[in-house]
Amino acid sequence: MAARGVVTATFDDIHTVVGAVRSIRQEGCEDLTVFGPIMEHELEEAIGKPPSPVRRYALVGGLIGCISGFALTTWSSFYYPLVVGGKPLASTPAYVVIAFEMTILFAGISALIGMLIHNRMPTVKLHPEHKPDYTDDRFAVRVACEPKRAARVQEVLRSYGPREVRID
Amino acid sequence: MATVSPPARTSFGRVSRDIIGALWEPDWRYRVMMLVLIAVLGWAGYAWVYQIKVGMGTAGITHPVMWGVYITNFVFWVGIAHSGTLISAILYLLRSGWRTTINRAAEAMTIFAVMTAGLFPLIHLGRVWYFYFLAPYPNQRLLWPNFRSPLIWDFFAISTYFTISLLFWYSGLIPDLATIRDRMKGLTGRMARFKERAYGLLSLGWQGSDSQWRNYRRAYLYMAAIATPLVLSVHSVVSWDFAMAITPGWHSTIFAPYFVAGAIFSGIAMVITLSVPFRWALGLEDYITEYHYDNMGKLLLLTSLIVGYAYVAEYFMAWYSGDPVEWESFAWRATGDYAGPFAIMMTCNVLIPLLCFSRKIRRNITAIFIISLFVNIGMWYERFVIIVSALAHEFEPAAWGLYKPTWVELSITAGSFAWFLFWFMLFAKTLPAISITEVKESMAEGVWSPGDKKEDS
Amino acid sequence: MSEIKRRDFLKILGLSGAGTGLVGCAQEPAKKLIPYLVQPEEIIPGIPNWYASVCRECPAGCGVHVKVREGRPIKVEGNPDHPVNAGRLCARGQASLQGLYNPDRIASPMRRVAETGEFAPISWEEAEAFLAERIQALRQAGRADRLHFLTDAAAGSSERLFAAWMEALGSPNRLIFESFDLEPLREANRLTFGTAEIPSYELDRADLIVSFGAGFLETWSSPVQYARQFSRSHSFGDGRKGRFIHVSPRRSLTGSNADQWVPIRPASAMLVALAMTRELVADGHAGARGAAIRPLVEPFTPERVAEAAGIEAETVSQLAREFAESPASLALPPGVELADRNATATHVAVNLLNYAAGNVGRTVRFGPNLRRGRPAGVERLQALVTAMNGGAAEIVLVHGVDPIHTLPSAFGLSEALENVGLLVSFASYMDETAARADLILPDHTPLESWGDHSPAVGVHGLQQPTINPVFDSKHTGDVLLSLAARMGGDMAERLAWPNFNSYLQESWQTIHQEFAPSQSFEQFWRAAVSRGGVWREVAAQPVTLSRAVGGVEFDVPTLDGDATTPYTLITYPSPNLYDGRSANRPWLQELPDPVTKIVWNSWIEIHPDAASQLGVQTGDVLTVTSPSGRLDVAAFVHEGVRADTVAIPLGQGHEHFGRWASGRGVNPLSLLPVAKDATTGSPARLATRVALSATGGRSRLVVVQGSDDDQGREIAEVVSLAAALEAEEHAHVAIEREPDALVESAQDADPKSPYRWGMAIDLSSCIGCSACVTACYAENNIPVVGEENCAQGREMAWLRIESYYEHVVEENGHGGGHGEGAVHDESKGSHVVHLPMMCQHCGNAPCEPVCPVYATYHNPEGLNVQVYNRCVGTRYCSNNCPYKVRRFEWFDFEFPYPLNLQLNPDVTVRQKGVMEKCTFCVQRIMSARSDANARGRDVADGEVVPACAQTCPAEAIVFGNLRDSNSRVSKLARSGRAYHVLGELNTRPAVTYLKEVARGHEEG
Repeated sequence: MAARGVVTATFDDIHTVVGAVRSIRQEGCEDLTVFGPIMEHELEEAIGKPPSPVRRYALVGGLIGCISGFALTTWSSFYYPLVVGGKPLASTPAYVVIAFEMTILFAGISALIGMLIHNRMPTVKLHPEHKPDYTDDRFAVRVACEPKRAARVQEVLRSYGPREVRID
Repeated sequence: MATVSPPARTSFGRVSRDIIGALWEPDWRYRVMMLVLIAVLGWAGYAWVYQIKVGMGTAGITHPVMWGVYITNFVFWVGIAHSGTLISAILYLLRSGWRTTINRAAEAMTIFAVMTAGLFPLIHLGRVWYFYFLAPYPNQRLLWPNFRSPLIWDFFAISTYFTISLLFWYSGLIPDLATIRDRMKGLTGRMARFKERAYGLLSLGWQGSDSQWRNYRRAYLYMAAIATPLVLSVHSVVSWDFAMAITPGWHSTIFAPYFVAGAIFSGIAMVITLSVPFRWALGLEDYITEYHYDNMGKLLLLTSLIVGYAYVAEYFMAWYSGDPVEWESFAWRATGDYAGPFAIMMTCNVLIPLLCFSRKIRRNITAIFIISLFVNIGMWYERFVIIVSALAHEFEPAAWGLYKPTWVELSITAGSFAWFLFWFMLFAKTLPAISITEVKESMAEGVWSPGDKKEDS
Repeated sequence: MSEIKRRDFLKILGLSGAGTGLVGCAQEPAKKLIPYLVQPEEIIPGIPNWYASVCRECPAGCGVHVKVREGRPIKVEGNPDHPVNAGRLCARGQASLQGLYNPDRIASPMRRVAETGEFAPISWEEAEAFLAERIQALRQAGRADRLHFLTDAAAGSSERLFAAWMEALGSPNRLIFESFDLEPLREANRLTFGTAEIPSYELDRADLIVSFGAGFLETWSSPVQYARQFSRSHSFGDGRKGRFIHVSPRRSLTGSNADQWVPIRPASAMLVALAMTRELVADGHAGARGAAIRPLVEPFTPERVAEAAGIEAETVSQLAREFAESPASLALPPGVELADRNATATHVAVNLLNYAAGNVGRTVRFGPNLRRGRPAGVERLQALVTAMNGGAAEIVLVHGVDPIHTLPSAFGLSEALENVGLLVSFASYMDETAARADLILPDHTPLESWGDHSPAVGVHGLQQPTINPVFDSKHTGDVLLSLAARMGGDMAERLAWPNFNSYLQESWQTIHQEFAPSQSFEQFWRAAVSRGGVWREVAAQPVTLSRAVGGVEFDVPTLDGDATTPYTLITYPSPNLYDGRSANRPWLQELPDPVTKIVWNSWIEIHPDAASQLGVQTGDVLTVTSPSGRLDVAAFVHEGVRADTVAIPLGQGHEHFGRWASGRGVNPLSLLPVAKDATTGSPARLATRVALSATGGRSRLVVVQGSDDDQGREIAEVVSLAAALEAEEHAHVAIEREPDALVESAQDADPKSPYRWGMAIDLSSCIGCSACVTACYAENNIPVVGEENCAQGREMAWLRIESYYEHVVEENGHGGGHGEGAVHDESKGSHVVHLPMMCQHCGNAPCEPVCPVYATYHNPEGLNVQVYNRCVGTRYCSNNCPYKVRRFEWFDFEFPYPLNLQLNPDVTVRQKGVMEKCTFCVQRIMSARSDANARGRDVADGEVVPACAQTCPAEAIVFGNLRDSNSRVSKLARSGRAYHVLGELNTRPAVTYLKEVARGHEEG
């Protein structure tokens, strides 16, 4: 259906992309995607999407790790109680090390998992719009808008001197 | 490979081509080197099997020196493992641009070093066929490991460190892997298709959309954030293998910071030692320049000063404490049967690195390379001195004794270096040894770009 | 055709099947437990049987109990009822098992094949027939006197049978030979007191012992007996402590226990004794006795003697004064190693000293005399050699002795044997003499045979077999009887006993009449066998000074050598290997010499001054040259000998004698001349001087002790008598205030457990003899690792004796904080402290928390246990053990057959790669506890006795329950001398040490 038009412009330089994105959004087009070999804080701000949910994964993972660390050590020393070196069965100071390591382990793994989930990775079939150049030296700004506004968008993008602009 | 088409249109394109071009088609030197490494590995393997069959007695360890070269190697390699994550994580958080060209190799080094270090706790076991007794899992013995033992702490610290480093390294690779995948698209031939598919799978379908980047950069940031305390904790735990014991010469509160500094020291040294031949072999002189060695030299100098301070502090504490046993142990360490290793340690770790005060030397790649070699030797001997000389002269004078390594221990030590280098060389030819993405980032930020030596820095 | 093919096919199938089957066997040998088909009623699997017998490792004749499990002797312990050793045993006695199970025993009779010159096994039938025929031939030719018979100096039925046999044969040439004889002492007693006997020295009654060198704690006469008596007198017991002065050129193991060592010049003991006597008499301490001996001793003034003895005149008078003023003094003669050319006169001098001080009848008692065979003197031995060389020794039988190894080679015996027609050896092992024999008729070892031995008047030890012969050996008594039977005629009539046992029983008829005429012989015999013999109190007989003493010439004995040979040579019996007869026992080879801590080797002890003159250190090889011979041996430098004296232990230097003895060390007898005591003609060992020169070579001398200086680390503590008394007073007050209080470490066990096992070791009792170490090896299946591994520090001893040179602490240290009251200066002290060191079973054991797999932990009864099955061998525990008492199984150490038969079934044989250590003999605790539980009560004090405590001749080790405030160990743990080794580490050991006490000459 031709309800929406899609404009794609490709650039060489990330800084121009930042400008382009800013102006597009001033035009009121929020439905845009940027492809590129690198990403910058500036650009992320310009695109202005909400912060990544990955951090919550890290937090929860860390907490689980910490708790299970203490739980495992303490429980197992009471499960088969053996006195060593005249120390109490719950030798908490010694168990801190275990708990700490497990905190780190769980936090790290869950952060990665979070990233994969929200990036829909792993996958073999790439986005139909993806071009090999996007991982090499090209940045692409892909804007979806009503067909009637496509011309305007195109105009704005052209003003930043893109390599090429495609409409479909 | 020579023909990555189409030829570079931009500086970014050049970076991709240079770094990817350094991969595969190994020449005869590479192949010979690999064969040598495999031969050494084989011999070391034989030595280990022999030791398992005949008994630990084939090693030189004895009463009272129950730990020797094996644990020395363990600590040495764990130490080496520290620079990688440090450079990646801490310098990443500190946003220091010069890390970008060496962090990938450093991280790889970390992983292979941990893989090497991890072997030694097994090799030194009297009954290695029961190594799984140390693993915490529900078992028919109804027995869990003793979580009070620093060795179990080691088990957790090392395995955590290995996992996190691996994930950190791998997630750093993802965009580069995608780059390689896409470079393959332009090529023809079955090999190119295979590579496209292989790297495609490894890149998990990365396509560089902004939402992917957002989650990715966030995850990478968190990993860096948690990897940092991890690095510090791991070598602290290793140091506690000794510090938690009551053995004079081991039982010391400064061990954790002292060992961490030592680890970073030896790690940086190893990065230098490896990167010099490697930038030359892969033709990446433009990417790792005097500028980088200058900075690494500074780091080397800093850590060397910390380590030197620790040596002196140890002696002062032994003297100040007025504990005759402690003092005898330290006095003997410097003057007794192990005075030689002690002298080597002092020279290589404290005196020689002082040369790095000179900017000229820091920026002279040959010089810094040689210094780094000395530091590697010195740090190995540091661990040897700490472990062996302390055990040889303990509380009970009647039970004093000496230790001398045997061919078994030396073979296995040689094998550990072969094992490490084997993996590193494999890595150098299969994965981008320099982070394509991060080089591009620092170019975009205008921090640094290939070929820049930053003479003025 | 196809038919055949099918068959072939089937054959191949079958074969291959069998083949795989065989391979399977080869890989995994089937291990089956085969139960008794017919259960022998006296054997209950798992329950040991105990058989009483007699130890025959030396002439002392200690009674033993042999622990037999499923028909195999696995442990030898002292017989508690026996008057000689009262349940205690020395290291050599413990090692008798390795004599029984020695893999190098001669497995069957052997005859040298003329053609090859090699030995070939033959049957007993052949062997006896052959020998009988040869002897018969000799008799018929009327040359029976050309048969010579060398035997050991056993005093018992076998000895009587030998005599009877030789008499029946018509040969006077029976020769008793013993390496270390007491003939000069015997003769001296005849001269001084008119009785040619060896009196009983009552060390336990003595307040002051002055020894002129006798190794009475190691090899002299009856060491276990003397050790027990000595520790009774010398250890610190409620306020009383005997004083011991060692007057000798060398500080032996015995001397290392002295409160004072007076290093006199060699061969000057006689003069010192005489001078002491003179002072005594001069000061009127001798009273009426003085008059008789004054003329004898008058000329020997301290001044005159001091010069000859190389000490201060003042020292001599000090000794005399102390000796006189002591309420009960005792002078002991020089030992066999110091027997010089005028040994008898020296013994007379010592007798006079005792007599003058009124010790005769008090600490020297005639009546309960020691009994020993009367060994032949030097002339007799020379006569034998001459006879051999003259071809007058056509047949020579050798039983129980190894003269080639134990006679100075200057005798030329080895060469003379060439001319012997037929040399027959009854040795159980291929010793130097047996190796030269033409015919070997292997005797049983003592643990396999009937026999008896009477070590003292009124003591008759009875020996019974404890196992079926391990090899095809035969009791020599039986051999002699069957030879007699074969020869027939009057020989058979006069020796008409079917076997030695019947001869033995008959010869016990007289003892039966003496002891229990009322009983039937059967009853008496049974009782005697089960008790290990019979014995009774023997009353002391008064003796008077004999006129004969007047005729004694007190000439200073001469030594071979001249100005070119500045060092006097002492060749002393090794405390471990005796005269070499124990050298094939691996336990004893690996047992560190109590003084030098050297294993598996020979050495020459040399004073640091002499060493620096020669520019040698410990381990450098010296060439030792005497007028009679030369040898190369490694130097051991220490202050234990005078600068003008060197000492080499006997026992090593075997060419044969099995895998552990052969080619090891040197035999110093090759340096000695043919020298004899002027009066008795018994061999003189202190007879020559030697020259030393450094060869420049070094030899691996394995000294297993790292350092003998504890650097004031509160490890070995020694205090003065005054300090000890003061400390004990404090303690007594505390104990009276709260009699039921427990020591701190009693808490370190499960609150519900009635036990916290602990140990107390009194260093003032311990003499460092190391019997406990060997007992531990025997009880706990501890492997022997050999010299190479020892050189690396890999000996496996769970218990070791650490000998430290200490300073006496004058003011009292309560053993609290680090080195409180201890001397801190770095210089080594002069007082030797022997400290048994084993796992301390700490309450706060540093080894436990570091083990990742709970292989070592604290059990509910307070033991620090090692679970072999859990151990993965990280060795972290050993690194963290401040006492360094943990051992690691470096290899799968072997117990070559039949040594494996000795293994204790109650103790695991450890696999390679595991840690091990002292368990407080947990197997003994377990059995005692199950016995107690069966009786529905707790284990009582003294019911658990670890192997070390059980055998300790000095009764220094006490084991028990620290939670029982009345147990001996609890009491001792609260003693004022109690301290913990390295106490400042707060490991809370279960082992409490009681400080060594030194009594100065002004104290008493």
